[in-house]
Amino acid sequence: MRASLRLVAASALLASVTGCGASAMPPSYAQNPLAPAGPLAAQAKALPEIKRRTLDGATFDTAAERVRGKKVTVVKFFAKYCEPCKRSLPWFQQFAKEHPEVAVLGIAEDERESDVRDVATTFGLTFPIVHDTGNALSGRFRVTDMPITFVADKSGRIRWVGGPDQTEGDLEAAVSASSSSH
Amino acid sequence: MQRLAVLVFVTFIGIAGCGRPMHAESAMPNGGHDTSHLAKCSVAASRDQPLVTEWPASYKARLEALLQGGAVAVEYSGCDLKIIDRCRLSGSYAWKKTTLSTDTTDIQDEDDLYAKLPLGAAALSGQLKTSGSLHVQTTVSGQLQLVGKAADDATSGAECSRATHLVTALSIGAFKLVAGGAAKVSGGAEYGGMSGMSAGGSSAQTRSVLRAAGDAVSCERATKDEPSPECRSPIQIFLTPIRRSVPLNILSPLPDERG
Repeated sequence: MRASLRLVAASALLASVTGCGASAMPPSYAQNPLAPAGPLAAQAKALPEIKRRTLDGATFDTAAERVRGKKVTVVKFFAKYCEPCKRSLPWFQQFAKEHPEVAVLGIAEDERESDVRDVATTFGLTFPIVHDTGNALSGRFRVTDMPITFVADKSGRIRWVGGPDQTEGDLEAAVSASSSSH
Repeated sequence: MQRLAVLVFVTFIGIAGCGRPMHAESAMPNGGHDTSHLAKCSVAASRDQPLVTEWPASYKARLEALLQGGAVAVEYSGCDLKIIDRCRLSGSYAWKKTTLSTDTTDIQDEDDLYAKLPLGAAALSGQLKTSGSLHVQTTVSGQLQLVGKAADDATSGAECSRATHLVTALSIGAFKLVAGGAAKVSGGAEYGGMSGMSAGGSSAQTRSVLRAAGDAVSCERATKDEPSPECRSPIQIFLTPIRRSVPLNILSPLPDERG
């Protein structure tokens, strides 16, 4: 009896320490070809590296962000013409503000940079934003639908892809699971 | 007994730590966010001047038919562009011949495919792997331009309440999506000189036409009075926002739109 109790307790303690592993990860948007095939790191695809100038004139470099110690990278695609994207921006901005340990990047698919700046001003976006002229980045990320969000772990593997139905809770869970998975 | 209490506590902590993090919103379906309409948008190369070549043939045909009957209004808010059939407006579209222009887009890999043809990318991915490359050629011989109707005096009736933009111009020409080969073949002929799968000169790779509308060679026969009958497929539409004195959102919906 005592041995059984010890076994149960040890299992529970292990689960609490590991955050229950893959069970906390919300399901990915399977329509995107970069979505992980399963919860294991080996089933995850590499996040396309980005080194681009942002709206504020700085350079965002995913590899450099990892070197600087960011545990997780979050990349969100949006556009001014995309109403569901804009509905998600307030909570995404809040997420970025509350998680300085996460490298957050917004990628805007609008044709005109002025439209991107309008959205940034309207929603008070403070995270780095890249204007994806020519849809080059959406091509590399195989984006056909928006809003869409990619979460990569410290090794640069995509652990979660949030599709149009993504919620703030999904993103929080995916980041939490990704930061503890490596 | 004390040891048992510790074990029970540790067990509880372990179980409670499982699952997704709890948030105030997460107990509600979809986190409390309203996704009852416009759940997603497609990435597109141009939003203000959409390429019609990506539209289904039936939709293009409907647009062509409506162009004969007056100015065409569309609902273009958020992501979708819908033609408002019942919004009948004055005005007409006048043909204006332009210098023949040909634009060829070469797609060599999946990065290109998703960047340049996002709407059809998933369906064309297998074809790209098989053929090695895809090539999109558009030839434009002129425009149908709206005359006799200004965007701000357009839409007072209930049938037009949903309209947000007028189609102020439509470029006309031919379109071809080809798999395999290169943009130019060794004999110097371009796709514009191709008829179906054959071309002058030689090419080591097999080419096949995946999708086509109109004949690019015929585009040269457009006159100042009318486009060539074999080169009058809609290629790209140009939209102008309708300016209203009454905000769109307080106009009553049509009877069949209620509930």
